[in-house]
Amino acid sequence: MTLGAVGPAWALAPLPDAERIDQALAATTLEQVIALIGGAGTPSPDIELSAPDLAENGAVVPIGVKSRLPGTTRIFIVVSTNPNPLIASFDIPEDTDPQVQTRIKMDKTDTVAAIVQAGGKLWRTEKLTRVTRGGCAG
Amino acid sequence: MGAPMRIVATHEDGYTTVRLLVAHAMETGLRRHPQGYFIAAHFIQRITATCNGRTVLSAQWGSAVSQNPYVSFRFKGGAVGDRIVVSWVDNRKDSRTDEAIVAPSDDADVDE
Repeated sequence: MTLGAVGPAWALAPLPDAERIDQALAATTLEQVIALIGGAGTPSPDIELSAPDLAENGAVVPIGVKSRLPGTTRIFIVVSTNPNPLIASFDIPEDTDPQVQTRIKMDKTDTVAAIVQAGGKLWRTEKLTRVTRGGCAG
Repeated sequence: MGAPMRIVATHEDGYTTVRLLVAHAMETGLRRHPQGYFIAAHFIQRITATCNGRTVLSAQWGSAVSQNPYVSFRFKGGAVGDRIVVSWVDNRKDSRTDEAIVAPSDDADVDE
């Protein structure tokens, strides 16, 4: 499922603090995550999300996120069908490039979403990654 | 405590790049032991990197960051000889801190 399907209703919720992000990391539905982080983000072409087209091993899926949005302060990685859809939240200090590479687990074929907090708003880019073998319970 | 992190930090053209390989099980709590029970969730929740005391990245994670997490990022400034310190805390309140010195860009690599 794509995040747009559950987006606009939450778009005006306030942006989260660390405690809310902890709650969002523990949340088990995409709707809860979106409510806790303050939205699903507006689609933006200024976020580059690199994720494989095909991940044979869902336990190790390389992900890269790079934001060209001015004032980027946070990068979220979300996979809606994972047991906990919010995977990670990276805080980007002022002198740090708004880009991060990491590796995540995916339970099944899904869109990976990068949600970027920039200028007090949330923005989003998504990419479909097909998963051959799930990496959350394997 | 866990095993040491591998931290490689290099400086080039005004930027310092940090590559980080953390030794941690990152158990989701959803995997079954061969004897049938679930292996308890065990994962890093907070991780922070500083350069000479200045925070250059901090993150909050769930259990779906891969086992032995890898992260790379870069920041403006820093210099050869600066001290990069990385600390994490997991959901059992276990923690670990390791550090590395920023090197020139041509003599460092990280084995993933």
